[in-house]
Amino acid sequence: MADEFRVGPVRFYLHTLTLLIRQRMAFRVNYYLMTLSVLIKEAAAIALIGVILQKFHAVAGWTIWEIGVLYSLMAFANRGFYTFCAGVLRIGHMVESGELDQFLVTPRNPLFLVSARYACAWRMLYNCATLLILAFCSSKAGVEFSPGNIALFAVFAVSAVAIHFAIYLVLATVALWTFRVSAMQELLYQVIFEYLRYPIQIYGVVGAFLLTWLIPLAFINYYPAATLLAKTNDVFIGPSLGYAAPLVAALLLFAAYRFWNFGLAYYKSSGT
Amino acid sequence: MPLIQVTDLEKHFTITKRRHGVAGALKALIAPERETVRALDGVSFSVDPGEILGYIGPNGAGKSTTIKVLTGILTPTAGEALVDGCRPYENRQENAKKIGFVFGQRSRLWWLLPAYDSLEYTRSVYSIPDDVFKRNMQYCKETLGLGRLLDKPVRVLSLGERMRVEIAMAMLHSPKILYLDEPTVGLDVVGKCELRDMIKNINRQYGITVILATHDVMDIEKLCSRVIIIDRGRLVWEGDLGALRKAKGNTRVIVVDFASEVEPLQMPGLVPASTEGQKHVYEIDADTVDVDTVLQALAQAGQVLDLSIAAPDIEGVIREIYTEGSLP
Amino acid sequence: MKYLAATLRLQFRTTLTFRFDLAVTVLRNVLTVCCLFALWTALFTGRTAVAGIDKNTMILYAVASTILGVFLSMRVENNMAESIHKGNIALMLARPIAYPLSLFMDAVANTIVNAVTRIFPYLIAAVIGFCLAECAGMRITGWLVISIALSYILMFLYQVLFGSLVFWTMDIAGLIEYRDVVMMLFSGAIVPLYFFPDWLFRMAMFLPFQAIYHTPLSIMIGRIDGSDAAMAVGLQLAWIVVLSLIARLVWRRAVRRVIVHGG
Repeated sequence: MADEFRVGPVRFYLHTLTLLIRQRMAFRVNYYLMTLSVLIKEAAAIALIGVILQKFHAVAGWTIWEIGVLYSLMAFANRGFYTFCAGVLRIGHMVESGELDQFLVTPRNPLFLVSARYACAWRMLYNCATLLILAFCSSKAGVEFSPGNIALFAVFAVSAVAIHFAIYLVLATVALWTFRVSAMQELLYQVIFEYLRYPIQIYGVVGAFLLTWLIPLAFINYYPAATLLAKTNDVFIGPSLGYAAPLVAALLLFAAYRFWNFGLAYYKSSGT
Repeated sequence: MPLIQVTDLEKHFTITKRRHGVAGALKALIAPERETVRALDGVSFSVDPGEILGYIGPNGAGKSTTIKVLTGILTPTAGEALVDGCRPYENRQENAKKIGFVFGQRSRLWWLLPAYDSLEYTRSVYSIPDDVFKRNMQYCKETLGLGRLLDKPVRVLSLGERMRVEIAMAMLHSPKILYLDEPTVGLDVVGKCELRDMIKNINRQYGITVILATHDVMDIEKLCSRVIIIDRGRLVWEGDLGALRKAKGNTRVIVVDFASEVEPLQMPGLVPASTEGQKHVYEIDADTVDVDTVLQALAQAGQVLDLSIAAPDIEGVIREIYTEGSLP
Repeated sequence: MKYLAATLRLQFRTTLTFRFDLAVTVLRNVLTVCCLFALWTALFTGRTAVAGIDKNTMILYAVASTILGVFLSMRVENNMAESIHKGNIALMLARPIAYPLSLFMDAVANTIVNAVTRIFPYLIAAVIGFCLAECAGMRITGWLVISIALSYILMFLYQVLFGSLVFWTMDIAGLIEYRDVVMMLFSGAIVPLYFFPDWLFRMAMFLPFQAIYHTPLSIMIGRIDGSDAAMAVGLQLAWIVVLSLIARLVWRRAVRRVIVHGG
């Protein structure tokens, strides 16, 4: 009878998130201050872009509000990733310190365990701030708040988080061989946070091509934004590529997961 | 039927040599050197259910490697390990349900939350049903004295208290085997004593097999029924505690206080360890000479003020095993 | 000076051990320069000059700003916060070297290491890639050198000031966020202040932040020269005086607080 009882992965995950949030609530004042600062920082970033654009009018055909949508979509996805599965970032460090082993000696999927255990669940509140800004920019950019668009946004948000996870998972797997991937992680973060906030065609055909087909980061925010904004010109390749975002996410996730299992088998045979 | 059966276990690692200094780091970038390390070189032993096995060895001897193989983290290069009938490195998750572990220096506790939350989390991880959980929690509270600790945040607990919670976490899912890696490190004398008693109780009451990897000689003396010594990837000694004591031969140490200066005694089987003036220390090989005979000789040599006879300490035995590689 | 040498050696060794990190850092730097180039080229399509700055000058400005940023990056605040959290601030104060001085030495050592590992790659990327022609517009004068040196000191003071606040607030992370926002907006590091609407420009000029980035960069692109440059540098000096007075005050109170409350 006892064998039939199982705490399913969903319930376990929610339990973990609850513990994470409770852990953070110990520093309540600082937490709310940080949330406010996130809001201000995002607004300031967009304001700066706005300052530039009031003299220049548009970047590659994208107006300030459209850039705002682009930026906040990226920030939303990035924060979503941190909120729900940031543990994958720690794997590199854990390989070095030997902390990873204890996750392998449990009856659950170690990747699942680690990602959840070190997620930053309290950042959910930061994401509300980002959502506000996204909504504001969207309305100014003329996006219709129809149920269709909202559903589309939800899909885009989930696939964006999945793409984040897949790419960081690849780095984590590499860490199983070479330990220190924190530099690569920072590089990736820089690319996402600094370069994806502008329309990718400014990086030339080569750059845009790289970001679309080689390391498909553009599917995080660029194509979804183009689709949501119903932009017909000034989009590299085309606005309907946004609909491909969930497919890209699924493929990446699948490939990354296979790679991870392969790396884990290597880790088990070679140790530290 | 042994619970754990290890046969001719081998594990080889290839490592890249690191070089020193700034120039070395640059050189290593261009032309790295590799070498093979044999962490385990043909280790065989078995563990019966209900035993407390002491697993000793100098650092780098292969202790943690063995445990990693037994817990399913590492796949051996050659040989086989069977835990409860299956190979842990092939059935990692199945094996994980039957074992618990406390890895000394690395804590699994949620630092800022009350200890109880860490236990509840473990329950979620291992999918422990309500009744089993309640029962085991009760047992843990009794045997580990957790009562008032559960509501306190982990960060305010002392090291000893934290170790107890960790052991509770390891036991919550009623494992068959408990792997303890240096559990008493850093504890004060009282703490160590209490923890050892608790481990002993757990073993006696619930029949959990314990594998204790440790450097602490007292741990071994107080807890272990059997001892395995590993060095440089090889098993150098195996047997029970009594045998270990006698491993250095049947020796006794005699400390004598004379009333006045006495010449050191000469006798076959009697080895003077230190003979400074009035205080003499001798090692007696009890196989060669009678203790009785020695005592008589001492009494004749001079007026004896005080005398003590002691069995050799295990630490000395182990040290000798380490340095000599193995004993005959 | 022995202290400086020792710190230098340690930091160099730590940096070189992680050789892969180094390669990636170089890559990051190159990419940053590329991105700046791409962005401003895209912005300037169809225009020759905005607010008196043309495309090449802007790119020069942006790259120089990034390099200046690396030059000015110091971990003074974090060092101080760490010391306070770890509780060894009392130890630090009792050392034979004055604490602020040791902080400065750390910063200088850090900067020297940075110069090799980070600034150098930037310079290479910049020179090879884009600034070969643009460098014609670059003015390296005595004023520039003085201005940059003053910026460094100003930044240091600023950080000491902020670091001292940790004695009261105990947590630096939140404060840094807010300070970064203000720096980002008003220092001219990311967007030249010349692009600001008039009223914002005037407001920015009243604040000390523009003295850190805006002044040296303006001198470099030739926007200010001669007597104007002298005045701007003078303003930097004035801010240094003001800030050091404030920093000194705050520092004294902070030390007193340590003595009263214990480490």
